[in-house]
Amino acid sequence: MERWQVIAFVIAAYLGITLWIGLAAGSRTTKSVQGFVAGDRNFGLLVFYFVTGASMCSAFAFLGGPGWAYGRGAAAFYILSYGALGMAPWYWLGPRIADIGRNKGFVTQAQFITGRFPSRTLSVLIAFLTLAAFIPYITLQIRGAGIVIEAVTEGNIPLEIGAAIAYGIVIFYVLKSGVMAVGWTNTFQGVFMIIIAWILGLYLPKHFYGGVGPMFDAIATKHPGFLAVPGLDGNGEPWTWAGYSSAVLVSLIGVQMWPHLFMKAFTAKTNNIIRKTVILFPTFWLFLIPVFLIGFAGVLFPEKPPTSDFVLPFMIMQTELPPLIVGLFCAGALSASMSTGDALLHGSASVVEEDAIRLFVELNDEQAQTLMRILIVLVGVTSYVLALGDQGSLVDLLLASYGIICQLAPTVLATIYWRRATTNGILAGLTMGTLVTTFFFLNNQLSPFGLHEGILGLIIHVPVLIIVSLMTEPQQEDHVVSFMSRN
Amino acid sequence: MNLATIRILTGLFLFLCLFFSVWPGLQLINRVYPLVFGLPFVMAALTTVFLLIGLVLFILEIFENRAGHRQIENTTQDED
Repeated sequence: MERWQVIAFVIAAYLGITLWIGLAAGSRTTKSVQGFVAGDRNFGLLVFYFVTGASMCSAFAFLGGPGWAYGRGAAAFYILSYGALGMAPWYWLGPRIADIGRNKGFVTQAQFITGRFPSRTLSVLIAFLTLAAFIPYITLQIRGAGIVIEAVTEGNIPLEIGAAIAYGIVIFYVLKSGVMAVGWTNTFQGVFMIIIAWILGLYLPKHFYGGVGPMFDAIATKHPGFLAVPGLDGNGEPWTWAGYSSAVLVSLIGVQMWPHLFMKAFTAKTNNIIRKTVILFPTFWLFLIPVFLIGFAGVLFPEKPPTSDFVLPFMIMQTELPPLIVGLFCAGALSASMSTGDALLHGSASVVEEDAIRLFVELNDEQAQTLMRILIVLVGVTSYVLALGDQGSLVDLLLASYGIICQLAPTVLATIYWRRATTNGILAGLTMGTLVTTFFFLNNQLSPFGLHEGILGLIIHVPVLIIVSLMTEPQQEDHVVSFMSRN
Repeated sequence: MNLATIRILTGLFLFLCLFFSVWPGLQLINRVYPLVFGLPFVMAALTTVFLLIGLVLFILEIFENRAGHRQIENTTQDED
């Protein structure tokens, strides 16, 4: 058996185990929409911890992280900064949102917001924004899976076939088991990718440089400035402080606004589980350290991967490890891609159906689930087609999505904390913020000081929300009190 | 120390973490040497910051549980 065939066999075994876990998880929920979307609000600490961690540490972290460390040096450290800081407010917000969700029966983010600000337009707008941010994010995951499989099978399984197999399996278990499949496969994949990342992150510097310290010594000597923040931009020129700092800010504001993560507040069995997950989250984020070490290990390597996102599989192939081990490493990278991809596919279908289609069409529980399954396939196929096209860096794709998603932060905060906010104010703020973000995304060269377009969107969004709210009639006191009460 | 003080200190700590994570605070810790556990100083410092966030929230949770503030929440399932 050739080397690549052994690797392909290990990957196939890993995919088989994931599929089995995903399908088995479905027996744990009711057949209702609440069961499919919110797991009957029954996630315990273990599953909730891994769902949160693994959903965030996606292909962007496992492939894009080393890619950035390899190509842009200290610029990658922005990822270190935003995770735990972005999660910290969830210690207070998460339980509050979960309480309101339980009381009112909400299962999606838009239901939560429009529970306070009743408006079909607002609900459809949020569903549209979610989809607009999710599709590049899912595309990134699918492409990540294809990259890994193509690289480690020496091109024998091309990107399009590898991505189709991995995501065919993801779609299958999400269709069958809903969010429970996402939860339990993420637990398995989370443990797997953490172990693989640490082994590889410590092994590669040792193998090529004699250790982590000697590796960084060598890089600092050869490339002074490469290890100092803000690092380099995508063209290899020094990145600006404004660009680096706004990337941190936009990511930490947006991180918990991702609907697939936000909606998980509705799946938690208790509020203590949400708080404990926030407290424990930095232990998950620690896995970025070995991930970066993998990327840095490639910096002084004489040969180069085809693109920086290929650096992880490229480095694995350079070690000449036994094919069995290479296969396991590859499965770790696939875990990262699939554990986020499944949550995103499930989240996007839930949002489009619950927040857009069901507002206009009456569906019974069975029809709703059938439609959701059709939507999962549609989103999956669309993202797959996009993944085959020419793409930018994985992290760049994610950062662009963050610009849109972070516009939901003022909306969510006003929903919970600002009694004077009005539906018109929320709609105006969200619309303006999104338009400004999109404008600067398309005309990046006009962005002042190289600021991230999401921050520029927020600079317009917040004052518009406040001014329009103050200029329009306040909401009925009874409605606001009833929404905000925890009982 | 009462709960209100702990909450204020937690807020201040998180603000401090943010200060050191972006410009201009990050400039104060932005150097490669000394290496800490083999990592560049700035990388080790940012790692310490995010680990401390978990620790500080853990301490806050202990104080909140002691103060029994959870009773005001509608978390009937918290008891199981």
